[in-house]
Amino acid sequence: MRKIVNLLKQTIVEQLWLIALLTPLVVLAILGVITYTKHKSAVFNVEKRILVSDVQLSRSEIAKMVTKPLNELMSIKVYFDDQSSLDNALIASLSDQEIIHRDSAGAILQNLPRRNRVAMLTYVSSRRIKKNQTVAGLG
Amino acid sequence: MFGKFKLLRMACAVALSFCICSPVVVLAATTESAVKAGFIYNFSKFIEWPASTKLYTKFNICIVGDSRLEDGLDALEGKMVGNKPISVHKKISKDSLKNCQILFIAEDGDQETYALLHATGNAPVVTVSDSPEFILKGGMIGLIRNGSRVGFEVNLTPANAADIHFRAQLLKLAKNVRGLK
Repeated sequence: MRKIVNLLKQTIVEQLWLIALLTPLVVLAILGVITYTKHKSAVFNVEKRILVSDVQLSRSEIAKMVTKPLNELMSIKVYFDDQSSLDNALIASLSDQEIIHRDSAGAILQNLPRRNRVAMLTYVSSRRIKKNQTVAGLG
Repeated sequence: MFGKFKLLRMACAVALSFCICSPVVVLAATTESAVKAGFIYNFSKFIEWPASTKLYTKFNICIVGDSRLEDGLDALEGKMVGNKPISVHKKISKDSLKNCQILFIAEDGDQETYALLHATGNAPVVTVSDSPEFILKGGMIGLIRNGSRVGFEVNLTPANAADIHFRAQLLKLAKNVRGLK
């Protein structure tokens, strides 16, 4: 038993360079998989809820809509191609559930640039602090 | 290493935005076309055509240009206007335009719009379009954007010349009426 333990110890010591090299790679790979899975699940959740054909107007829904009275048609909010913002564009005849899904997808998108903005602000302010320190140092 | 993550994050963001944007565009076009088709169907209830059109066995709705509206207009096929079933015609020749009761012009080009209006002449054809300033070009009904809603404006001058009568209920709902005596 002691022999085996010694052999194991020796092997570990001998292969330490390999372990040292591989450990960060394995950690990074795990982190990468976790991050990818998170994003992937977010993307697929959105895809499942929005990309599927049941969100589009079906023939029966179109048939219902075209027979609506004129005053009702005039009150329906329509998404126009030249309205680039998703949040401002209200889409007619979506169920509440679908609107919630769309809003949550919008929130994910909104968070990405916000995070970038925060990073940029942090960078700018740290640069300013450094600059002030340099100026103060010179003064 | 961090560049790799940034790239992955960016790729995810691009994929996510693509997933979100593409269905919205598809849906948008469908909704817009359904609403516009609804307008066209409703116009037929508030317009009176001259007696000469009573000879037609079908109520002909014709569309020139925009293929996106076809989905909406297809839903009108077979519905009744008065005692006539609606027949939707796509890709029709200029010579046949005079047989349409409603002609939807979805051409962006001014020249094409003028050419189509010229082709209908004073025939009893209600011309409808969503192109900008359509009624100023001589069209009868222009679909306009009213915020995030669809509205319409009416030009009575060509309608009177074609002996087409627009009912007061329709004119009340119009955002703008030209040629009112």
